[in-house]
Amino acid sequence: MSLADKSEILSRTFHEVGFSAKECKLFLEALSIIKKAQKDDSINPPAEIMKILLDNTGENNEI
Amino acid sequence: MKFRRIKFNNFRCFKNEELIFNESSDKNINLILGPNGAGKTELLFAFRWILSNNVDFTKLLGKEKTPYSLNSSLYNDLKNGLSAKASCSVELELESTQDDSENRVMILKKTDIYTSNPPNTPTKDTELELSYLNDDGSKSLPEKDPVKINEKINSIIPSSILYGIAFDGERMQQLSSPQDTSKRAIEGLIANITSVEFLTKCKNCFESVQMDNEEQYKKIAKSTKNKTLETITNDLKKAEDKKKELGNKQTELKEKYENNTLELTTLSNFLKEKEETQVYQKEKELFTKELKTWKNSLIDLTAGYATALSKAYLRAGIPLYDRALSSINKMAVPRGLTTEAVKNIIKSGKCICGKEIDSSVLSTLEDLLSKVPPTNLNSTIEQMAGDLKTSAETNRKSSWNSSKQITTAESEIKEKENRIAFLTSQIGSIDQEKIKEANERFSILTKEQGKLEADKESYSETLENLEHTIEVLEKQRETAATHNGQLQQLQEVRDFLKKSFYALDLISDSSKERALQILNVKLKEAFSELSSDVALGRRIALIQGKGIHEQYQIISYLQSKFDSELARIQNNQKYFTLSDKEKEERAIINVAEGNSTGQSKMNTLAFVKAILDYANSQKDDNFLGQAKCFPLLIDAPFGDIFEDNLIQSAKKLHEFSDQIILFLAQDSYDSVKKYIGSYVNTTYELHKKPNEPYSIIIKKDDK
Repeated sequence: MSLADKSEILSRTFHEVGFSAKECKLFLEALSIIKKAQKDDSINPPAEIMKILLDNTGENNEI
Repeated sequence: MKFRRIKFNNFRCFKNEELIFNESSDKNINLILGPNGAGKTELLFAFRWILSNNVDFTKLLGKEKTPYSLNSSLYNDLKNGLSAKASCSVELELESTQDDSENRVMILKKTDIYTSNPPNTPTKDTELELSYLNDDGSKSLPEKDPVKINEKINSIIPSSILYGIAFDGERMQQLSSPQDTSKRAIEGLIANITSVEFLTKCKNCFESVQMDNEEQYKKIAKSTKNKTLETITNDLKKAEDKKKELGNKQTELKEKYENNTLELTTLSNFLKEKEETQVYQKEKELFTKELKTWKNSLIDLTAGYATALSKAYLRAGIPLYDRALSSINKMAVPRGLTTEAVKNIIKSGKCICGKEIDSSVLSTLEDLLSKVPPTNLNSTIEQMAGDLKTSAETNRKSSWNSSKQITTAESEIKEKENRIAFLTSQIGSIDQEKIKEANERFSILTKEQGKLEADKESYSETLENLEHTIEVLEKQRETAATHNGQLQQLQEVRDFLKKSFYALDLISDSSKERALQILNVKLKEAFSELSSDVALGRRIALIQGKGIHEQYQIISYLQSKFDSELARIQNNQKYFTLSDKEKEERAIINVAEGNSTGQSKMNTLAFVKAILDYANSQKDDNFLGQAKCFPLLIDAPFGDIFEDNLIQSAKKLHEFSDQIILFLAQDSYDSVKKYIGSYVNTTYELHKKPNEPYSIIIKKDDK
């Protein structure tokens, strides 16, 4: 799949889902964590994702 | 990923053998030559055995007489009770092409087989070890946890990929069959080389995050009865507003109650007066009755008085007068005659004149003497007059009393008449209509007061409950205020995850659809490159079935048949609702052809080339396509393929992957050597040792 294909799928999806810019970033970041965890056993993806979500939500940090 | 080395120890037909794989950019084929029965398939199965558990050696009993990975000779020794234990192992070294510090991995799989009772049913004990190899050749401490090892192996070369890179002739034939196992194999393969498998992992991971988030949310929400601060604040405001409203209503009710009480008092007084009137009425009736009695009494008294008067005169005068007059007249009694003289006359029987007196006169005289005082008649008359006087006096007194009573009665009558007149005037002054109205109003007000009393009680109770609710809500608000930030944050995470699940589904669907399009293009390209049948109108397509499983299937068909079937479908109203793509897919399914062995192999070769092209084309390593370079292990791919198809397939084989491990019989190799030979880097020859259950592997310098 070409980069253009991937880019098109992602932008169409983000638009359809209604992600904000920050949500897009968090979503991609979460997927990157899962991706890294495939090579690194020490990464616990659910815990890492929960952490970045909590770091980026809440008061003065709405996504 | 590339295989670097494989080493056997008593594995099937290999006693102690080792193969090292090398390739360069222009020589990427590792050739393993051997006649039938020398162990080519056993060698291929060794890769599958160490990389997945899904190997059934009983299917290879026709090649080696052992149902295990263990060498058949050792197995027979065990079975025959000649030994108690035997071991076999395979050591595989592979190199990950990913940018990974731990890119060289060595996997050791070892099986110990023990005799048991009975000895023909041995038990086995399998161990796995995984070590990382350093540049200097040293090894890390081995990982022995089978779960972790399998996870690692799966991350390097998933079992689904083995279906696409490790082929013996039989599997090549099966892959393009319409069997469910083949469809599932293709499904797994495509899921792996596209992003679908990764996206499924992402979904599972997001589900774990969601569970964690929900758990935290519930824990916090439990302390505020699952209410947010906003909800609690709203509830509290509502409760306070209601309390205020009830308070106002209660005040209104109180005022109304007081007004009613006042009106009731007024009415009560008014009606009390009405009760007095009734007393007046009764009194008037009594007086009227008494008046009547008195009047009757007056009539009786007046009549009595008149009677008494007349009786007095009659009693005293008339009888006496009548008797005296009769006696005098009858007897010519001289006046002044005393009683003594009368007595003497009666005694002598002769009048004072001497004349005889008859007996009747004498009897009258005797009677007279008995009734008058003995002195003389005058005194008798005086006596009688006295009696009359006394009687008259008595009657006069009686008459006087009667007269007095009459006066009293008249006075009473007068008094009663006056009282009756007063009472009549009092009764007449009260308006009966007003009394009726007052009574009705009194009744209404009394009922209303009852209701107001009940309402007052109800309001008090409700207010009490409200006060309690407010108290609870205030406490909840206090707690919620503390947790609100956390809840809000967790809610944001929840919303984000919800969107993320949707996004993953969309990406997965879009990726699958796009991947299928690309794979179909690559499949057609590969088929055109490999098969001369394209010129004859033969085509190939990868179709994704509809329904729950959505399994993929490789279908070959003839263009001409497809064209007419597509035209038929397009003109058939039954298919109007289908999209053009769906119509094409249906037409392909309808004209699918059964495959010969050679055709199946061609289909599989085209498919394998397509998926390896697809996987190897992922240059960037992100979540929508991993940079996956897989080797190809293929046993006797050219059997049953002839002429141009054979030539084209052989010519293109080196383009399939950066590393190809090709298993061929010598004669088969000879037929394609001029197309393949220049791409062969390393050649190994397998030789079956005569009269021994072992094969040996000899490296041949093909250069």
